[in-house]
Amino acid sequence: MSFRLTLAAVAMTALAGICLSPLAASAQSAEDAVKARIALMDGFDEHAKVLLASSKAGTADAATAKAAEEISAGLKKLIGLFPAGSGSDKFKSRAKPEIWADFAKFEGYAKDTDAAFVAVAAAAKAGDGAGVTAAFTKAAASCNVCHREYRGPRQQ
Amino acid sequence: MALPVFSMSRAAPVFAGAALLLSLAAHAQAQTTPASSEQVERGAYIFHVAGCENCHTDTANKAAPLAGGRGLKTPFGTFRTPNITPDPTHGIGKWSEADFIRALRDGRAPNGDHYFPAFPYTSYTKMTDADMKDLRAYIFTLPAVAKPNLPHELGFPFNIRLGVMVWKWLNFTPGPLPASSTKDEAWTRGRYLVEAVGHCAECHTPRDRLGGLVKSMWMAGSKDGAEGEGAPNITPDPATGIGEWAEDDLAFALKIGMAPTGDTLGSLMADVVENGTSKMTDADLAAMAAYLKSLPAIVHKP
Ligand code: HEC
Ligand code: HEC
Repeated sequence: MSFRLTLAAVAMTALAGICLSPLAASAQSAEDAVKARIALMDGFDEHAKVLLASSKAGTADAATAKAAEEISAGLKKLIGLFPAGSGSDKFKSRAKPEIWADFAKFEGYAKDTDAAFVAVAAAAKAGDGAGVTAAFTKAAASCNVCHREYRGPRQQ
Repeated sequence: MALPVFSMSRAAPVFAGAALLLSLAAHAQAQTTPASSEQVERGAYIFHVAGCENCHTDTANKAAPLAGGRGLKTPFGTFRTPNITPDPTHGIGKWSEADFIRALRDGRAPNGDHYFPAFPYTSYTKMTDADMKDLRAYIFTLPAVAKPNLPHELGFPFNIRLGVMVWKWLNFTPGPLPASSTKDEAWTRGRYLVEAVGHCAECHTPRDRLGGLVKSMWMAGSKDGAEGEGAPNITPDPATGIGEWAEDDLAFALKIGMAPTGDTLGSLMADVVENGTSKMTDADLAAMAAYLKSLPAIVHKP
């Protein structure tokens, strides 16, 4: 347990060192990207809450379609917010280095997830409540597939 | 000196003894009866809820299902899960029903060796004989893979199997769950799914220095969950647990892998959902949620 604490202390000191050192211009923009993508994905949570309620009740209405479209639009922007060097080794971020090991694969996941949310919007617009539930169940699983591979554990 | 202890706790409840006799009789019969498709189907369901593949399939290296080799990091070292495909040489293809039940119920190998509790028989011990038999019937329909087992990478003294005997003596109560006279059927089913098959406590309950579950902190979250990752408090405490989640939201979260907050259930919980709870019936999910919401709320931030 004390070993764990020591490790944490070392990590914190290292992190503090990085944050205090003068940042190069590219690092500055990487920092902005980290902030922007976290804000974007926090926004996803809010839309997802709408979709959760809709899928639980089998509701297919305009608000459901809009929430799905917002996430789909956000996913198109998201990929641009992961510049090389913006991982959890340098920033307060849960982005794992695996993202940059094969960026095309990461991008592919984002596209699949986007398509899954487009399907939710389509079901909502068609007034198909059961379709919303089925499509959102798939879309949520798609979020999970990506998070499992590329998002590190929560930081306390 | 562990053996007398085991047989004592075994024999204590009279009904357990009766159940054992019954199961022995059923067992003699099952040996000769080939598995029916209904049995295999029931076994598949148990298999998913029990998450056997989460540990026994080395997904990171895209290895064959249940052929083992996945590394489980613990404070005691890294365990390498064994091959549990029906391969007769490298898997469990030669195991009788009794061998299989003994592994899950008593944490013991066919040769009598004690298993490390990284294999959560500490929870599976609470499963019924019927579910264990169905489970084996299903596993025996899966492809056999001839892949040899890898040794665990454990430091001294944890590499000594005999030490497990002492550990079990301190931390392990074999046998099924006691009946509950005060709770309804759904709660009882939920308790069974959470405590026995789903082994949720193995990650969500903190452990003492010896790695035993701290019963007074049941499901209150653990800093040292499996593979060095913590797991959150899932008791009904509103601030540190999931008290703010409605019961049906909890069931739905387990079904689709997303919390009512809109965030996904990630890391190890993603496997639990994908391979397990997402495949459960709505009635079973509701039962799990009812049991979890009935637990004492414990204020604890792991
Ligand atoms: C949390 C991870 C984990 C889960 C979940 C798990 N196991 Fe295991 N299992 C292990 C480990 C680790 C071992 C090795 C124990 C040892 O060597 O002492 C093991 C050993 C075994 C063995 C003994 C194999 C042998 O060759 O002696 C069997 C059988 C087995 N598991 C079956 C199952 C079944 C069936 C399930 C699902 C009901 C399951 N396991 C779920 C980790 C797990
Ligand atoms: C292998 C370890 C493991 C097992 C087994 C496990 N969990 Fe989890 N669980 C976790 C982890 C890790 C998290 C945190 C997920 C995250 O960070 O997104 C979690 C999160 C949760 C959450 C969300 C809590 C919150 O505050 O967000 C619930 C609810 C939950 N688990 C219920 C269960 C139930 C019910 C079971 C049994 C069927 C179970 N868990 C089995 C590891 C596990």
